[in-house]
Amino acid sequence: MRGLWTHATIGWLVAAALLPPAALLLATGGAEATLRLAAGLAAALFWQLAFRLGAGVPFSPSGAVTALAIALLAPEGLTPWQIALGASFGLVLADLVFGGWGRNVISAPATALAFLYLSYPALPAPAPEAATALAAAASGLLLALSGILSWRVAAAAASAAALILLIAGTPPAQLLASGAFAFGLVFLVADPAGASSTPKGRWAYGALAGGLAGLLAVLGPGIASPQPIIFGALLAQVFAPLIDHLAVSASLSARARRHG
Amino acid sequence: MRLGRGLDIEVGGRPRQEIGQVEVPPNVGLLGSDYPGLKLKPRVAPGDTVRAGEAVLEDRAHPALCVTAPVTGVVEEVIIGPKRRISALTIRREDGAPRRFTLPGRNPSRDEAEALLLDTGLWTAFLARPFGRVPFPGTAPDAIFLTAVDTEPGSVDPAPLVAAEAEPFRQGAAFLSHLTDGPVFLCQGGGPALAEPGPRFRVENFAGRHPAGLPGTHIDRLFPIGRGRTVWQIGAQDVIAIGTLLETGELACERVVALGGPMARDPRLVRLPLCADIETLAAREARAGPRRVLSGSALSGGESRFLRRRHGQITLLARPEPTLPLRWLAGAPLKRPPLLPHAALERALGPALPTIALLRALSLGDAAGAARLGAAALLEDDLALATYLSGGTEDFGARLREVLDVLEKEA
Repeated sequence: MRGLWTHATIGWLVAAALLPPAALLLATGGAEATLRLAAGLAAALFWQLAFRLGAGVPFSPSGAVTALAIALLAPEGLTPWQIALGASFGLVLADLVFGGWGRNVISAPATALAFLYLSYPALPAPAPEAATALAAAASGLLLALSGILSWRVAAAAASAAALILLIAGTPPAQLLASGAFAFGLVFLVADPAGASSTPKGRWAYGALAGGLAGLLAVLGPGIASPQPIIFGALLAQVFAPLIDHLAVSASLSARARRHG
Repeated sequence: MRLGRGLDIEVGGRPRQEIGQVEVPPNVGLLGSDYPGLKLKPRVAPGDTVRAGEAVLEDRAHPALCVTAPVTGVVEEVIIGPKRRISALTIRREDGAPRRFTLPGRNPSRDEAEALLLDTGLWTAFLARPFGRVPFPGTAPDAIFLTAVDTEPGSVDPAPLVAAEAEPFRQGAAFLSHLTDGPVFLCQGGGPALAEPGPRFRVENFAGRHPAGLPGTHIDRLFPIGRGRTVWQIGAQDVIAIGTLLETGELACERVVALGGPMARDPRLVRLPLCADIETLAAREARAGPRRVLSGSALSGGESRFLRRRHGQITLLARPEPTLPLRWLAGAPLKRPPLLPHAALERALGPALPTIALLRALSLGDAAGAARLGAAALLEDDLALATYLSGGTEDFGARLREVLDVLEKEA
């Protein structure tokens, strides 16, 4: 017997969790935001279907995360073609060539955003505000209640980032007002496919991602900008398999010490 | 003890915990796959008359290790599967006296105790871990787990059954300690102790969501397998049968079974012979419409014509209409969706093992890796919740059995 948590259902739940920040973006961003989102969604849909038909990769609505993440967090002033290129880069190279969401190591939205920031360093970064943070918190709550998002990852990342800000003398309240941090925390850092998958590993991974985001914010553009959480998530995801390996080895040797 | 993980699943048609009337189906069927590790061959041929308690199948390597008929009747069919293994042996019930057994004295030696259980076929009620197979004669476990709790969805609560048969249960439980020099653990679901604890007889309570009632969970908490340890497990009703045998000299072949599920017309407990023909039973007991007849629970059971040897429940589910893929996608091959390590999967295993790493090793058929992560101590039912929580992309119980077969050959 199988439960609710099929690959497709999880994908649709994640897509549903995108609705609050997406609605907010469309309501406040006007025509330009709509165009950005549409360009990302079109690219995501195209590649998902292409890989479904050509390579048998299961279709997943999780491609919408990449589209919304770009619409919300990518540099301002990108043309729809540049948006579509970024979404394609992230989805294809980070996700679909490995066999789809769940077989990847680093998450597609983080890769796409990193690509866009590295390719267009001169463009200004948006700074989504507290309303977006609230919408992302609603998304996070939905994902945590449906058993998809690990609260350990989210709690560890938020505390680590707050700690770094506190040490650097920045008021940690800025963290709560940062829409970029909240959205990145829920959809980039806590992406179940990219995050660590052991209970202890999740604490370590979350702390690493949040800590890196805090550090990058303090040294660079500040926590209101999207870059710190994007690159923090990406770097932490690179280390997630290693963290899991260490966590499993530690728990196995603890078990061996206890009872052979 | 309380299990913090786990998940209780509601499938509908939860049986009332009272034993109702039932028309017992005329056939029983012994399934070869219920005796993992044995290479069974028939001792009887179709048309032979057998009494309840007489051996009908025996292991090629250990002829004393036999499976006995649960009813008096006539052997109908002996179905041989791949590698000359017995796939099923069916018997049609007829009236007649059961076989009587000569009992050892009040304080039997280990050999006498073993001989009695082998002779009656009750030996095959045990499963040994690691590798989850019927133990071989002449071996002794380091501990025995007697399970008197069941947390599968829609299962029989064993506690009232044990309370109703307190004396046979006590005798059967005491008899287990003749088979091991180690402890015997009675694992129950709470309430007063179902039997008096003793120096080698421990009573432990387990509470929480499923899989809090699985022997795999109990063994991991109380007597983890490692350092070459072996543990046997047996269910409460089989222990009552041992006690009844010691009292009467006859083999008790009936078990109280839960009959439930959304397609069951009257979800209740019923008394059936071991290995009863549940498809015939379902024809009378199910609502109209396409159905699936499962031996076992909706979670860990499987479709079967006969009730499996260690299953205490029958689940009648609706058979879903097959869904056709979109036409323009129908031709494109589809890969299996990957395992997504979502947070709820942390609840899946009773034993404290690295869940995702273990599931990935099983999925790849990596026997050495799975063994390092503790797979040898598990049985199929320990992984049923993992299959459920991962959306059924893969039957991890079946993958585990393949891995166990490899590990056992290497051991």
